[in-house]
Amino acid sequence: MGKQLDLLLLSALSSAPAHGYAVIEELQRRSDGVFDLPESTVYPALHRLEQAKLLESEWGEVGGRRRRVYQLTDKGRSALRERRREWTRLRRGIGAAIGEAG
Amino acid sequence: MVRGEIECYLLAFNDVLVAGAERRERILAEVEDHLRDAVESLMAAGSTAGEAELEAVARFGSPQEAAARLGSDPLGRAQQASRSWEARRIAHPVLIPLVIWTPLLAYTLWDFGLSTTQIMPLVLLWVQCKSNLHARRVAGLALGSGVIPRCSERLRRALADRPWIGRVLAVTLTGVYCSWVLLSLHPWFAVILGYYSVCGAAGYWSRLSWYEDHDTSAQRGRGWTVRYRSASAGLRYGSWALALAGPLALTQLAPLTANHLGYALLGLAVFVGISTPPTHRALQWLRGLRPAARFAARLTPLLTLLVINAIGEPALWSLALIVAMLGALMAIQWEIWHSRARSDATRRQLVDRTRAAAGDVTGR
Repeated sequence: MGKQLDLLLLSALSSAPAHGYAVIEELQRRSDGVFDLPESTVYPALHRLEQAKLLESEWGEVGGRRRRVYQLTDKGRSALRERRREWTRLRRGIGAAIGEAG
Repeated sequence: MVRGEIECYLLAFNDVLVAGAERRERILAEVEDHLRDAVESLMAAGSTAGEAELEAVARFGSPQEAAARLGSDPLGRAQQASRSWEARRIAHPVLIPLVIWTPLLAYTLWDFGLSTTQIMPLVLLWVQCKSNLHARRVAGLALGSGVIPRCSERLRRALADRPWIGRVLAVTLTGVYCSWVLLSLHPWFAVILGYYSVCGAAGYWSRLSWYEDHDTSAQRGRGWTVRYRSASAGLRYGSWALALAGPLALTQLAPLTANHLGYALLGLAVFVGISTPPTHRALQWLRGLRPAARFAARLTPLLTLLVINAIGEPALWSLALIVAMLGALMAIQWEIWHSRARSDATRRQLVDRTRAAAGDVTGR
């Protein structure tokens, strides 16, 4: 799940910088509620991506409260493109293997 | 419904999280933000405040699982290890100092006979016992009043109001003792030590941060550095000027120390390493550094001097290396100690908030 979670988080942050809770909400919204992850799994992944320099974060004022806001770095954008390609390949491969049409 | 679930959760989470102070504060702030956002969302969806808090906490997962997912960092692990030592010294506040210092005491007795040499190990033994007993009292395991030597209430209060007395007394007594012992062996050394002790005492007495560090004195505004700013600034700058001029003054003006420039420079390096910087900007810069970096910055003049000496005399490389290694160890220890103190402060805040939240509910 680690790689897929990274892809999901990078995708959720690709449109705009956001804080942790907003990232989770965005994922739920985009997946029509399919991704109901244990919420505490998201922060370790965000921290890991930040350590890998794919994300950067800073304290900012959002909705009248001080929050840690994450955003993609240039390295993060290229990692996102790469992982999207990988995912497309994987999906095609699995689709072909299980006889999925199209 | 019970309120204060978030505070209780944060306290439990804090207790199982293995992280250094900085990372710990960041994680706690993020988790709290998350839980408050979740509560707001749930309340907007129709839940009551109590239900929303319970639901938000449940959705985040147990504190143990959440902390385990975040993993540990080296500073957090070091903090944990130092806590186990803390537990030991609290459990045996007198026994451990006895075990540590008795061999040194025995050695000095064996080597020098009954003399002033025993004062140092005895002072160290006393200081460590006092420190351990204090830690024990702070930890809430107070010994009976008959066991801990206590001064009279009036004297105790006077000392608490003037925290500098103890330190100035300790510095002065140590200086006098060292001078006394060394005077018979190396009179020139005693002159250098005395010179820099005077500089150090003057700088320490007029130090900038003095009344920032002690709330009681600052609140009462009784600090002379606050009342007589110009005089204290003059003394502070004067002490530094005197210290910087020391090597020149001691080798040119004092016949006893004329041939001991190296030791005068050593005195200056120790002074620079220990003293509070004279300007506010320098003090702020120093305080802005990480504790280990601050320690390294303090040690740099001494180490530079030792390295310069070692270049001229290769036999001194071992001394420079030993000082560098000890310095590195102490810098790491300093970092751990600071991180632990900051983490303890964070925990105290969480406990206060949890109690306040519980009181808030009871009061309703």
